[in-house]
Amino acid sequence: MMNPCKRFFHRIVWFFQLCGMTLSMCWRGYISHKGWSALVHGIGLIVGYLGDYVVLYSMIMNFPGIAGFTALDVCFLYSMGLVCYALGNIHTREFWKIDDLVLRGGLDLYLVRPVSPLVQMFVRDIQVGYLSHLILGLGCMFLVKGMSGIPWDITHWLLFFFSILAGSVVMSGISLIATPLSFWWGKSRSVTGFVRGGLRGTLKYPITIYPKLIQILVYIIPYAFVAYYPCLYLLGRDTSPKAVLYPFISMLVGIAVNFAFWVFWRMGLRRYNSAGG
Amino acid sequence: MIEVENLRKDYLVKGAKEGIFSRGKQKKRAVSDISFTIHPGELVGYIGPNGAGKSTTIKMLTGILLPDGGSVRVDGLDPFRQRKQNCQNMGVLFGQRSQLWWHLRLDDTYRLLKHLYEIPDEQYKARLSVLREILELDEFWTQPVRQLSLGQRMRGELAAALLHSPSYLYLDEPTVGMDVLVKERIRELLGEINRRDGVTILLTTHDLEDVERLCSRVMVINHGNLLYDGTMAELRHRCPADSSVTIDIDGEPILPDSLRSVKREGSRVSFHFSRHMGEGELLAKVISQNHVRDISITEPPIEEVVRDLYEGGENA
Amino acid sequence: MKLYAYFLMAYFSLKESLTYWKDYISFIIFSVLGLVLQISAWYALYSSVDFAPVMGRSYETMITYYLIMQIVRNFTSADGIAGTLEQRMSTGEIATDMLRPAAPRGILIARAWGEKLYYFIPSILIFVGSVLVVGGIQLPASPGVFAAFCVSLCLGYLINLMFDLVMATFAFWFIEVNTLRWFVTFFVALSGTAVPLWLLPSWLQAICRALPFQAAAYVPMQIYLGSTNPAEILRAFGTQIFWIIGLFLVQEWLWRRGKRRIVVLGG
Repeated sequence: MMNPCKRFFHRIVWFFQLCGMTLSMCWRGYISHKGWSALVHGIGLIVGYLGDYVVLYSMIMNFPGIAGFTALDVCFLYSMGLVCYALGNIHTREFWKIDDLVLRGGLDLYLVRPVSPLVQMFVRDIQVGYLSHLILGLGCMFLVKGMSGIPWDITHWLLFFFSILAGSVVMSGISLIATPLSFWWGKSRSVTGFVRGGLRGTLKYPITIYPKLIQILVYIIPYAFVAYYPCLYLLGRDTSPKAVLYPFISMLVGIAVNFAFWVFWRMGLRRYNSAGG
Repeated sequence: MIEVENLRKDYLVKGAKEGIFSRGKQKKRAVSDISFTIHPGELVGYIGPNGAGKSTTIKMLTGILLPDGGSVRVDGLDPFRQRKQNCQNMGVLFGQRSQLWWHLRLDDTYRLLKHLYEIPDEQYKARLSVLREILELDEFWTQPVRQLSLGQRMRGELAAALLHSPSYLYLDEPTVGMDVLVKERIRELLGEINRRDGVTILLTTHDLEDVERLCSRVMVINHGNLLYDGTMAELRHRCPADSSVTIDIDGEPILPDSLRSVKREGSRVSFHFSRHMGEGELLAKVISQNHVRDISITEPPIEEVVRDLYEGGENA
Repeated sequence: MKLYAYFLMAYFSLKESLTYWKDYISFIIFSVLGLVLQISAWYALYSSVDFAPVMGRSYETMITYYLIMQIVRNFTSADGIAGTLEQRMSTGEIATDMLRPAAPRGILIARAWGEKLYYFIPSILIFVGSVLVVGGIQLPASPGVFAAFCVSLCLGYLINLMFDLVMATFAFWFIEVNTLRWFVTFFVALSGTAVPLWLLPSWLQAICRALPFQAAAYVPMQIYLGSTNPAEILRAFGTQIFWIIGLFLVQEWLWRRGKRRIVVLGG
């Protein structure tokens, strides 16, 4: 019998090995399924998003700015949202199918294994296709930084990478939070669609332009902490010391949302255990 | 050993709309006071019509559902409260849901399962080669799962369910959608697995032929009640369904009037015959009064046997 | 007689859509949210210039453009007919469609209209609501201009329809329509639906004007916001009709080639 420390370490290693295994499986499955069209799909996706960028940029470039953000700033903001969306949803795709899993019993396949269904579902459908989003978003952010010429010191760079991490954690929590609704409501598409899709539109612009109601919404479903707050310091919009803390607050918010999801999921699962599908 | 005692499960079902607003909730009893014991190495069939409570029972045995009353113990473990421990010792196969990764080969899924169940390398290699041999997986070993036929896929699923050498195997409608030859093969394989490894198998099915060919013991459930638990032979014996006798007669047949459902086809005469109704004498009479060249007796189809039980259960 | 059959199909499609009232509500919420976000953006942009005109257009014009454009988009969209056609091709259902007395394209269009009407009604309501909230929009210069605008809308629909049918025929050659869509999205973004073409740099504007997409969205808007000068209006119609005919010919040709291919391949 291993002591608890060793056991914990062993579990972590086991988990990373699992991730590596399923990542390889998802990648090979993706390639074998789509083949060359995967590349075309990736390029097509980038081209499609480029259209969004052109629209965004040309909209704002004719004006001095929007709530103090220049056109380049907004492109940076949008890219941060895109990158965090991609990174934050690599592991959530299986949860998007929760309706089907609950109603048609696919969830049972996870429950008969000696591993937590959460862990199994996180690694089941790793989205390798999001690589295009990452390339595009990161490329754009570097381009904007180059074009705007704001000097970044080591603090900026560290905060930059940490913000991406924090924003992704928040995004994944937002993606997941409404999914346990299926345990009670069956088809919960409309709510998850609103949370994951509709509200996501708020990532495009600085949140200060929205009416009060929307501003409150993006605190509760914390899109405000995905891109807006972390980017304030990086774009030089807010150079006060507290702005440096924003990425860390985002991370805390992200952890809180994911924790809320976990609690909600456990409640839902308990209901599934007692009431069936 | 599986020990089920006074198992009960209720569902809350939305009642009919009463008035504009209220939709009363009704309690529907899905499984009602079921008790049985399955000893290690048994191969048991579990049959019942749709909605009878089969899936609900299986779900409680596998730890997916929490019973509302009574108890379930598998090797002394509570499948729900000691889920992880119990899962190590059981394999589950859902006929209509696949656990194999669709675009990859079988061994990719197996390697993943090896990791999930934490099977040691040596044990895994040995077990896999045994399963490959028994289930004849080598003929399609290098093909992606999406290219396999239903029968091939089912063999792959069986291997997946047995990879970690469980003592218990639960099968939920494993032969659904298969043609006759493929079904036969799967049944043979299940029988062989049961004999070789002593795996206790509980099989739910709609296809009564599965139970007939494979199971020494059968449990019949309807409306949440366990109507029968015993051998196939006993089940037939209990049921008053008719057998069918066909005799090949030389010359003009002389038949008693009380013979039922008589049909003639050339020199062949067939009629219904029921042991239970004491018609043995009648049969003897027919044989003695005629020059019988050939005789064959067909047992009643199991569907009829079970239907009587179902209907009996409805009146219960 | 045949036309009546198409009408019935549209009607049944509408009835079917009505059962999905949850989608209805979702659609309304989504639309309202999108509107709120975008109008907030325009408001914030114009406040940075103290509501002076930009590129010769005032804030009121901009808001009018945006709100009317939503109507234009809803009315002229081709409702993913391309996707449906491709899907029916991959499942082989297209074979039964071709056996029916009505043309397969006709069936799809009729069905799409049922669905379109279903979404049209709430979008009108949302439009009226938005106009009240923003406090009024610019009206067309005269009833004649408005009539021309309506005609232009119908022409715009036909352009989108033709283009979607062209895309759908690519399915005959097993090209994934969905992947093509991503490339098209790029150009659709430059059709005036997301941002008015007068805000784009002039070289980009030139490229856009050479494409059919702006003929379906931007041209009707120009008529609406434009003057009563008949020459202008006729020129706009001319552009649209040019594209309708051009795309129609292309899709007919492709459709015929594709049909032959299906026969050869046996479905």
